[in-house]
Amino acid sequence: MSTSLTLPATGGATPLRARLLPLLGAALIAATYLMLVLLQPTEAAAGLASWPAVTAFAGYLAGAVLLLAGVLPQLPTTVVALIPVGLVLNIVLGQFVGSTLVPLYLDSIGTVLVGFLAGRSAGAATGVLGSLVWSLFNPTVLPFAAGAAVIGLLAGSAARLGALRPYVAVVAGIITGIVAGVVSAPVAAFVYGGTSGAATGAIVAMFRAMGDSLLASVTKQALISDPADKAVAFLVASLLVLALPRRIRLQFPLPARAAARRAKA
Amino acid sequence: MELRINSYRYPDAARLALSGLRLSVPPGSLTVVAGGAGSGKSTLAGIMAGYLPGRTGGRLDGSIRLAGQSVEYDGGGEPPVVDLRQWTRHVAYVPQDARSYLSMIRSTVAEELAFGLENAGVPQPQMEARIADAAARLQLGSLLQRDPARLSGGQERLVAIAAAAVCGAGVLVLDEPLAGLDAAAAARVAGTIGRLRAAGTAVVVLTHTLVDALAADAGQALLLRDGVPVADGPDAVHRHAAKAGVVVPGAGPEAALPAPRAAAALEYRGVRYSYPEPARRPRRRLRGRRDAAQDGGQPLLADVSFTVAAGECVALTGPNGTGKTTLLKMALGLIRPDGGIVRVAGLDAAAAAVGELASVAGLLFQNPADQLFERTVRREVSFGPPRSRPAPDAVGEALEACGLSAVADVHPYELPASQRRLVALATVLARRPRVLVLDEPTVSLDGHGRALLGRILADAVARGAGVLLSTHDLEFARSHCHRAVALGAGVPAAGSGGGR
Amino acid sequence: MTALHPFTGLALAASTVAVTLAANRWWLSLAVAAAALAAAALAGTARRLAALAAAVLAPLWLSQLMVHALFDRAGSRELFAAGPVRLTAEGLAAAGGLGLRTAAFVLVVLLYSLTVDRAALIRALDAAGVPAQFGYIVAATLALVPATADRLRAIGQAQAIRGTGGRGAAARLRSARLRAVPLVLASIQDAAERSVHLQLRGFPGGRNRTQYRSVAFPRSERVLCVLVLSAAAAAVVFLALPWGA
Repeated sequence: MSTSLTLPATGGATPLRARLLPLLGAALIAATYLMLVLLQPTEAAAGLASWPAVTAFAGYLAGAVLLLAGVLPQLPTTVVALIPVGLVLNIVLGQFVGSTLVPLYLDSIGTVLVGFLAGRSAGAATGVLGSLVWSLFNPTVLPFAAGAAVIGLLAGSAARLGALRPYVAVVAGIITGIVAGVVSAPVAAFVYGGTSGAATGAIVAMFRAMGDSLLASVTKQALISDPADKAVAFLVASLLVLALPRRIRLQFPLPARAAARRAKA
Repeated sequence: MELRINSYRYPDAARLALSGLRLSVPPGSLTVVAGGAGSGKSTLAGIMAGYLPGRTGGRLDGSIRLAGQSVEYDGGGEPPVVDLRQWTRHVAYVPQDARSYLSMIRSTVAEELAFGLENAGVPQPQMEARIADAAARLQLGSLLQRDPARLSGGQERLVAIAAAAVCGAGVLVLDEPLAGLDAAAAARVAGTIGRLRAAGTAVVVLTHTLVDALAADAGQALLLRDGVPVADGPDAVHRHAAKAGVVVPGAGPEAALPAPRAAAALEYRGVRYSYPEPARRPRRRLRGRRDAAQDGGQPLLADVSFTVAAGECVALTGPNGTGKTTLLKMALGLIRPDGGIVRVAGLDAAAAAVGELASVAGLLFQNPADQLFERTVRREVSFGPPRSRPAPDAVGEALEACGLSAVADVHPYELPASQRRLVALATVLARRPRVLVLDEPTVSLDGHGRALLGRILADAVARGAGVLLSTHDLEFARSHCHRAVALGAGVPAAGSGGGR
Repeated sequence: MTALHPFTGLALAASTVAVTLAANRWWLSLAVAAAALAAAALAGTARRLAALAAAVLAPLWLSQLMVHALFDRAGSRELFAAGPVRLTAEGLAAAGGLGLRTAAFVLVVLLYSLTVDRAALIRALDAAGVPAQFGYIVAATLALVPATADRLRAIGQAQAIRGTGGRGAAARLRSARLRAVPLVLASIQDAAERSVHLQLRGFPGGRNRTQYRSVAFPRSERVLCVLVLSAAAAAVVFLALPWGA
């Protein structure tokens, strides 16, 4: 066998595709949002026009998939093996903590956990993958892929900035909730014309009764419930990361990098 | 394959994980590398498998010769990184936990075997032929169409070894290939290893016990202690093994057990149990007495009766899948019998609350991962609900008895498997139960751990506690228990008195 | 539907959803929803489909009803009014239209999800050049769901004898931690171990990966996919553009 058993000393540079596709995806998501906000449709008595629904659905989903296509092939296998755990924890911990503690959603603890351990791109990929996988059981989450990607992305950024301390995590969670809520509002407003639960629906109806437009009402509702939800999710995820023993934590990119930096300092 | 490891150090580790090791593995040979917990066996496995040092930051000084090439490590922080896709053509490694070796994303065993071949880009017809050949040689034919998620522990290990062997690697590294298997499954795995060697595969077995069949066949042997080879060659290894924390045959307890008292600690009378039908298994049925006749599942326990007296240690033996674990869980009220009575220290286990039972009886589960969640060993052992927290002196005693005083401030997950098992045992002991129920306590314990376990059992018996433990290790049962109760497949167990 | 290649079903489902969404006509939505239920009845999964869809749709419908119908101010044909509540025919029509559109979408996607052979779908994705990581993550997640449920049951038993239960926020918080922490620790530990062995088995492989069992994608079905998708795209553009509707 003539093939060398070792890899060349210099690691290959990230291919252009891997840098371009996520940027393209993010741009598409941003453009979709701007278009929907700026050209906000007027509401006729007969209901909504259909183009905002199609635009929100297609633009967000396509942007999220582009993002995923760029990120996924670059992820190390340690992270690839971690993502399914994150996706299952999203559901299990959500149900579990949600049913025993508070009347919140908490369907993103796993995504935040992956973001904390493996960084921005892994977190974003987890968000998108979660929407794709769970749409097999609940199709309505499909167009929310972009919002889920934002949560994972911001969790990764927050961890870099030290969000693993619980009180920082709460603040980072609130900020993430604001951004993710705003990004997701057009989907709730234009694709479904409502929210996924009765309680949130009542809040939207209240704003509507006070004279706000549909998008504004849904956005305001998201600004009420999402920051609280994400603050709890970030807090729980940061406590879980702290409970991990060092040996396991160091197997994942972000904590390993932080440890290397500390060792150098 | 030839290894020369002058030293290996993990990042931030104070001491060397391995040093001064030389090993040469000729084709068709069987090499046994023995050592207690934390002796460096898994580090050696990682280096042989090619994933250490990799990019983990570990520092290796030495060289490895494999398939006519040589990889040199200079002990620096930027070692050469092995190309695993090439390396795994020559070396395959199967861990003790075979389940984590299987990809779990394939729906049949045949497809699972193909996983590595697919990644290597083997053309489909050739894949078909190789899998058929491996299945025939390793006698796996009946398993090929099964779902990998529904295999027994022994079958999982056979499939993992086959999945490693099917890729045609010349060197096969196996970590504890026989641990936790009953006699029949262990014989099948040992037979498989023999057939692979006959075909020219070099097999390296990492183990903490020299009791099983493999140790007797080994042409080469190496004994590790704290990362240093302390004996070379089968005879020398056998002589020094006990001191290095390796389980050796014929190591009994120092003193005979005192005679049991008259009072019953744990009593099973006419216990019956059937598996619920898998298709309509109810979701939440942790504690609900079922009507067996109406349920009509597969019978597991039929009319089991025996008694464990206070101050008596009883071993529960029998092949995998005969209901040992079910019987043990009944003592804590976690599973309720379909019929019959289980009495624990005078309480009816089916009627009493789990919390009430837990205050008189303690249960060690098979998998310590289900139990441990605190950040240090001491906090783990001290944990309890507000009113029944173990007393500090009980905690100290339990830590001491399990040999954990020195690591009381370490995270349980940082410890080797053997000590993690002892942490779980310490959490049970700290509550000072009158009835001690242990599920496979010897599995994953090395020689030192077993000696501690033996002493703990003797102490418990001496203070009048009743002990019921399940085990495949008949020698341990003979030397540490008053008697054994054998469960057979579907056969009502009789209290077969014996032993001492 | 099981006899078709997974991509054919996917193309049909995606086209149907896109056209229904773009058309935004209550009668089309109703027809599509009814067709999905009928197809499920033929495939023998009507009951599961109805149960799954009901669980998803019930809260959504309630929300849509509140947002559009219960507090409507714009509609002229008032049906009922009491305090802030004002139910109008227009509001009900808007909520009904949205509800039917969502129902059609949910039913069609769930029908596909229930009837497709998921293993075949993953194999088809692998063969189509989608990164191997994607197939792994989807398959591993689906396999982990029952495994995690089992693990949670085992942890529940192990912790029951360590003092879970009790009343009050503190006891519930403690029992939540008691179960969540071992679950997360053990799951992440498993993932870390499995990733080593995945690499040792050559995952993710290179461009020359092969397949042990592959799914046939007949030429006729490929043509059908292209036709259906192009027709749907054209219809969506025509229907959704503001001047088209």
